[in-house]
Amino acid sequence: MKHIDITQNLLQSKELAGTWNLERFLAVQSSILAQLAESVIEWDEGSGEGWATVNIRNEVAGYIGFDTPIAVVKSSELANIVRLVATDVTIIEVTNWDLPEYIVDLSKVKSIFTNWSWIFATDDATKASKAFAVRDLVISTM
Amino acid sequence: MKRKELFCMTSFTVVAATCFASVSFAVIDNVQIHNSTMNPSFRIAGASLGEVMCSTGVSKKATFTPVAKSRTKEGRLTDGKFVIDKPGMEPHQTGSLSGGKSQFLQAYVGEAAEILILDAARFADQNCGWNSSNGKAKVLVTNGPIGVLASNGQKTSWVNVYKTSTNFVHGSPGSPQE
Repeated sequence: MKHIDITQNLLQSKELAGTWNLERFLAVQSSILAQLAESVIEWDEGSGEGWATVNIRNEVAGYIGFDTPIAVVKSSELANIVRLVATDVTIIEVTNWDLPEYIVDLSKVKSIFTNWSWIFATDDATKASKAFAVRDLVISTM
Repeated sequence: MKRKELFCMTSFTVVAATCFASVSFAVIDNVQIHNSTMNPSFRIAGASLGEVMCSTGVSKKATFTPVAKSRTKEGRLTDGKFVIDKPGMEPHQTGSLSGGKSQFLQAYVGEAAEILILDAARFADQNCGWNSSNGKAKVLVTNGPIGVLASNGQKTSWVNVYKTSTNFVHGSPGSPQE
């Protein structure tokens, strides 16, 4: 299986973290809700969840990052809206939420994104893999 | 054990084996809180029957039997199915809301938080189910509160639990279910 390396995507979003704030994060959500009539956004502000989940017609269309300007999207329509309202958001477009086809260079991201222990999430060495599903990345940083 | 609060109904509580001498939470009758510093197997005995709340907003009566905890060879706390993702919980145990993350109360930091999350995950498995879109379940701790919300500083008795496809879990104090 060909793996997709998203190391640079993560580093790019982290570099721009200083320009990202709650106001911009909420502005993206408002724009999505205004332009996609059947969209519903879930985000627990009280908890400070790391991602807002965007559902369109009861299916997950994408996730918008709270801590850094990043979006992981399956819907091209959603990707276009995010690009229009926030041009500096790093967008990772995916086709499958649960296929373990993504990799990162841990040596480059480990010191910046500290939460990577889940990637080696099993004690069974025969199952250990460095490739991960993008949804697991989102959940682990939620 | 001290009785923290009185409820009119029989309350189910997610047992948090608080190991700290300063606070001892009353759970409910017939449930023993085992001090994990005394027993490395973190055994929690007892079962309870009462009314519980899931994120669907539907309360239901259920029996919850906490399972024994242990450590993986990497030192991660586990209940045999779920494994604690410790880094995922650290932002919620800094003691400060300035990072925009909800915070566990002092009695629920460290190992106590991990036990709470493992129990909440097990409870969600048995009763609530999981939101497949974000791997999340919401569980009410009826002898809370357990944390403080980042948005308004209010205390909360709700726990958000998140699990990956490989059953790594972490959690945080969450907003009340609307």
